[in-house]
Amino acid sequence: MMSHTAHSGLAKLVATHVAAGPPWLQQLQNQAGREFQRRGLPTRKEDAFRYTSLTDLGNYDLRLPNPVAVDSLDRDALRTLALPELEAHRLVVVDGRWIADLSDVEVPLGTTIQQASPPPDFERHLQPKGADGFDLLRTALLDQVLTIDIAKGVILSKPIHVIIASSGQTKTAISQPRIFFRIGSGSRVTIIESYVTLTDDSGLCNAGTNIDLSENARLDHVSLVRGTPGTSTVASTRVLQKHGSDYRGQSWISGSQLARHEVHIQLCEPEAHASIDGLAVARGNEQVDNHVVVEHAAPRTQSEQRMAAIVDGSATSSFGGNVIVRRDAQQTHARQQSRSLLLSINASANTQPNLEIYADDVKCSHGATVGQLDEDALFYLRSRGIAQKEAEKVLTRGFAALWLGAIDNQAMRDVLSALLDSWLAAP
Amino acid sequence: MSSTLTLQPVLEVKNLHASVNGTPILRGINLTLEPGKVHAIMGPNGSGKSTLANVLAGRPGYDVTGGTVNFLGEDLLPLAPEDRARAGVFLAFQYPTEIPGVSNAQFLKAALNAIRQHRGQEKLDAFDFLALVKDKMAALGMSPKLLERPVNEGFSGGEKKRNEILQMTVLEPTLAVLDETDSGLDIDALRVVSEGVNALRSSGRSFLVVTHYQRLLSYIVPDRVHVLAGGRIVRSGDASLALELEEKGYGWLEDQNEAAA
Ligand SMILES: Nc1ncnc2c1ncn2[C@@H]1O[C@H](COP(=O)(O)OP(=O)(O)OP(=O)(O)O)[C@@H](O)[C@H]1O
Ligand SMILES: [Mg+2]
Repeated sequence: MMSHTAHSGLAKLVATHVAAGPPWLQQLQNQAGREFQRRGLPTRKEDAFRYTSLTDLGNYDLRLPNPVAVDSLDRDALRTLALPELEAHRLVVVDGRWIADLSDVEVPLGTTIQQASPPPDFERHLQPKGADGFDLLRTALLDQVLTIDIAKGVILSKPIHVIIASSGQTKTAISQPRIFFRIGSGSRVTIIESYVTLTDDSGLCNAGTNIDLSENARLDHVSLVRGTPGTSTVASTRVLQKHGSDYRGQSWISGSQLARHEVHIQLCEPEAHASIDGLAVARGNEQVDNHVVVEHAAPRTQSEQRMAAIVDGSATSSFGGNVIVRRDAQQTHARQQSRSLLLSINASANTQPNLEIYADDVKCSHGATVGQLDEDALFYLRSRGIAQKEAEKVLTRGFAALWLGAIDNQAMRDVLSALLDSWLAAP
Repeated sequence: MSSTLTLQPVLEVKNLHASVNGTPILRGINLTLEPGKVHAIMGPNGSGKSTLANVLAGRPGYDVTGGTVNFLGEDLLPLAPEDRARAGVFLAFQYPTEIPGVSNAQFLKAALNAIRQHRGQEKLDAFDFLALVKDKMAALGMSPKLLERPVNEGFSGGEKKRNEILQMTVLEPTLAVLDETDSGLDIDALRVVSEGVNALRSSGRSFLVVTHYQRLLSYIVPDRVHVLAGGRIVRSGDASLALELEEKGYGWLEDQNEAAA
């Protein structure tokens, strides 16, 4: 199973890390550090990682990155990865540090951005329920938090795009970007987070995003995990939702050694709504994971999870979809749907639905399908002159169309559509 | 008459045998279709009409176990379905396939451009494509809304059949095999679709029309009518054969056949 050197490497890193910052933080960090040294990275024995292989990751002696040399960064690569075709306010974070020089100078009205030691109200985000090894690492090695505040009643016409890059300047580095969004009541914003790597170098990006969504705020949150073959990304988003707030998550995950996206949502007050539409694609030996936990903690809350995966080659996808309905959360509606398309016989797709329902007046449904391209449809296209390979692409794209269709915003849909097309066009 | 005989046949099927899932279905079909001709194929349910149509289109799972099929003088059987389509073979399906997530426009454009490319023509851009297709849809009485919908998904029976004919008029094949295109069409649609087919009739294009009903053949008047039974053509004649069948059913043919055997 796990290699011991890996544990000892990371464990040593944790053991030698000197927690700075206020006492409450030091205490939490030391606690998480001890816990990590005891448990290490997750193993397949943990439900949330049952289909995830972390063995390769375990073989590296991961270390914290040196401060990035901004002048030697590949700016062209960064510009391309920053989706230049999309109108947005751009913030660039490299190896966990916000680089103001590479970011837009102008900050949108009603928005403040600062990078500092965690603010006091971040404390509750540092002790997530059911923390796993990655959560513990994130806390134990926490350094600074990029906090983005949107005041109340702000409607941003352009999205905020945070480009979260791993520089690869330090070999086999573990970077831990940490971002905290506080969205004021009644505000309406679109936030895009792009997880990208500037080299093929193996390393781990263990990213954490925390979101406080105030009363009646609406957030369209697009997460794009675009690793290169040798990299591993574990991106975890945790959302706390107040009364009447609306979280619309969209995700694109393209495979790398490991690309894992976790969304944990807590619907803390009545009438909160959350939806997540995700597409994960993988080929070769890549691994993509989607892990969603929606906790209905208040009455009249609603959630939908619609996840899809396209898996080719010897790649693996997994989807863990969890719905928890607490006893007080009456009149809850929760839906979960997962669809996987296998493009080769060596590809595998794993789905693990889990519903825990403690209230009685609820409507919950879930369904999962795993299938291949429809032979009849393939023949139909070919009988019209469309070559086999092209026909397969057309149908694969058709499979993804449902996911694309869930995106209201035309410009955003175009961007995601282009990502999909370039993935399909690659060998 | 003698001048057409010197022309190379569009389709020449000789002693064709084919099996589906190891079960022999076609048991020695012989058929020659000259340029510009319309042949009708009739015959009872399960006699092998759709099997013949699918074998011609190259559907996987339909195994040719004997005989030959020449298309414009070339062996058709080694060709992949897409290569047959590009060479000019078109099958209007008895049961058109639904393709979720792929719009009718996207599909038709990909098909047309694949075929145009094969013919050495420029690909059409979205604008020219739409102009072309909208005209053809109007002629078939189809709502332009059907272009944006996923291929055949949720189409009514008649809409599906019209959509097949639309594809035919856009792709302009040399050989069109229409498998029960008339079933599911209302009376007006039958006329519109028949007019669409008749408008495409030309000296360079041939049709194999599979149908159960004489009604279609009064619109699309065939040059020959063949009766398929038990995987063989048991009778051929001119257009009047269809009328005779309408009157007498298939029983008398089978009786005759058995008597002859
Ligand atoms: N995939 C299949 N597996 C098994 N048998 C099949 C398959 N496809 C066709 N057959 C059989 O082959 C025979 C001929 O079928 P075919 O569809 O060619 O008939 P048809 O003449 O087109 O009939 P209809 O008038 O009802 O459309 C039938 O007995 C049918 O059950
Ligand atoms: Mg049939």
